Amino acid sequence: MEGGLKAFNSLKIDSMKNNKILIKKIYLQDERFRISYFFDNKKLERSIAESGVHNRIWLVKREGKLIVASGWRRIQACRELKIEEVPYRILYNLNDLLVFRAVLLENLSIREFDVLEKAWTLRNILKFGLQVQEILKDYCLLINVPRSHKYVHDFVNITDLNHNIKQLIYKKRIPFQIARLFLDYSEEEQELLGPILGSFGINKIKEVLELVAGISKRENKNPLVILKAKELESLWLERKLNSVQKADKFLDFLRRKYYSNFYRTTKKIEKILTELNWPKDVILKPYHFFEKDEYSLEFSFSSQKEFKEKINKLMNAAESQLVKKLFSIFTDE
Amino acid sequence: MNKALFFPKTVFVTSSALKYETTKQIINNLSSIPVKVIKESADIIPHIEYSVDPIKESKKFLLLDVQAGGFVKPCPCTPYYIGCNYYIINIDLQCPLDCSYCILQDYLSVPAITVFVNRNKLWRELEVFIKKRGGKRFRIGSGELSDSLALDHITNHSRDLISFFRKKPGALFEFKTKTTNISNLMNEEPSENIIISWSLNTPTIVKQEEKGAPSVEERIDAAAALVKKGFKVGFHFDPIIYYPGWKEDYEGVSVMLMESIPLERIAWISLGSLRFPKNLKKIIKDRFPETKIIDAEMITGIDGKLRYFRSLRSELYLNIINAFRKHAEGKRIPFYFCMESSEIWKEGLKKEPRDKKDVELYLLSRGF
Repeated sequence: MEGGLKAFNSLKIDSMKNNKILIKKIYLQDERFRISYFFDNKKLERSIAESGVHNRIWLVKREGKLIVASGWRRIQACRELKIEEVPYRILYNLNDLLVFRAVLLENLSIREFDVLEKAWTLRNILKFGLQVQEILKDYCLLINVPRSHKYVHDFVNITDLNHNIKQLIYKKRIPFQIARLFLDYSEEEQELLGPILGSFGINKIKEVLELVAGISKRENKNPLVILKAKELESLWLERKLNSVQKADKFLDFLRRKYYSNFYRTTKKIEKILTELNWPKDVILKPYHFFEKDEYSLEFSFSSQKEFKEKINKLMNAAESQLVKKLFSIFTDE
Repeated sequence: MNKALFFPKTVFVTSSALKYETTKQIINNLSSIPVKVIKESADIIPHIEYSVDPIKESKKFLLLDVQAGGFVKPCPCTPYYIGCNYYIINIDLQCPLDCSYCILQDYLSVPAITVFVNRNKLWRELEVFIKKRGGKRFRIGSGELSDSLALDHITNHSRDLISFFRKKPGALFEFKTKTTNISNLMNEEPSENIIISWSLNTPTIVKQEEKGAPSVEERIDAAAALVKKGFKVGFHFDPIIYYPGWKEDYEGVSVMLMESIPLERIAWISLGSLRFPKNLKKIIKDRFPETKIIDAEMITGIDGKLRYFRSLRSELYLNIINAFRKHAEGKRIPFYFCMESSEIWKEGLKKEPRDKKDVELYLLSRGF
């Protein structure tokens, strides 16, 4: 690495000023240095449309072809705007790893990488021949990735996720700790999950991924079996519900399956309340996950009369011997 | 230990620990192991930080250091659930065993198994602590942030701790271990205020989740040997884990225990189900991808830790308690719950401790 860094320090950059190259002369099929596949180019396009490309594209020569080291987004924007030429510079005498390091430093000086860019960065570095241990020493701090073998592997594997899932990670700005949960799912499972998760925020995405994985491990079934459960078939076909409502119902299905004992207990409470003829507009709230034999009540009233009526109904319920059942739901089987 | 005794790959000694007698003794006990003098514990970090599993790697090293803070502390327990007013001595940190559920993976950040060598400070601190208690009895132990006996062949802690506590009748001292490293103890005269406790689980859990630890049979055999020698013993079923077949397995262990150890020599049997801070779940998943212990129905408890839903905990406890009672011929078994709610106490043991002091009183009555 030291020798490499020396070469890097004497980085020779083509000194041609204001030279432009026709985009069609660049070999764009070679994406070895590319790390951004998902981005919003609108702002950049507007800027280029108004004042042109300010920063030169970095190119390197490989097998007689000029390939892009840095500037993918600028090229994309120019093509979108039908601009045929871009200013450029060529990097000489550097191997792929050193070119890539230069590209990273250039990019990192102006912005932070998102999860996917970090993932592709690590994948590229591995491809350029560095061992994980060297990556931990020389690159993790640079791109703000925890120095752990497991994390590096998980980041790299994120690049192999289904396209829609990667798009979701980009769009929802899903952090790494949640993005890595997708690695528990097969391509087919990811395909199914993509559209459902699109309706959710980050917390619910995390919950769904954890619940499906948890249920599948507990029941010793593939996540696919959970995702294709019979109970869900009619839900996906339901026309009256929009995608958000369907996704919510799906989450509810998972919660009931994962927290089966909790929901069974909730059902027991509902049964007791029915037996007690409990006033419908008075909400009985159990303690957090029934950890304590404590309940609280919630009700509203808009007149003394209404207040009295509700209290009377509650008094009637309180007189019943059945109330005791609320405090022995875990012992009465 | 039936598994090989722990011997480190390297012994690191901080320069400030060099002058202590304990350091010399430990180095002498490890004469064939390379010793490196370092300025501070952080100097070990480069030896572990780039390894595939830094926690596992850190367990290959022994660090002899000076305890700059306090040795004696109240057991951290957990908020909102009922504790037992236990005190801990942090003479060692970390453990050579590698149990998947171990809280120390998240709780400690030491770069090596650490032994604090400034024992005179420990004795002084203990004297002050005992004096402050003004004759009030208390329970104290050394197995909270380490295994009390896993390093005993290297450190001889047990010899010194017994010698100290033998003269302190107000203190009930507990060694807590999963090992069978009892050679030092076998050479000591028992004392009624010294309890040797084992953490027990089912053979399935030991095999799958307690890497490097002796089998349940070996642990119970070690306990039986010490009972024969005259020591009182304790057992901790913690963490009790919910998995297919748990009922039969825990009953099997209870039978094994009741057949091997006379009930009157058991100071206590604690019961605690699997629980851990949320952050540990990630660590367990990363370090032990095959484990299934994190897949049962867990909720976020009042203390913010993940634990089984109440009905599962009740089911686990009641079945284990009943399994023991079936074989106890009507004798009272000294159970207590670790970090549980008063509701669970009531359901499982028909007791309603108001707080940790109630639990402490109950356990002190069992110990003395």
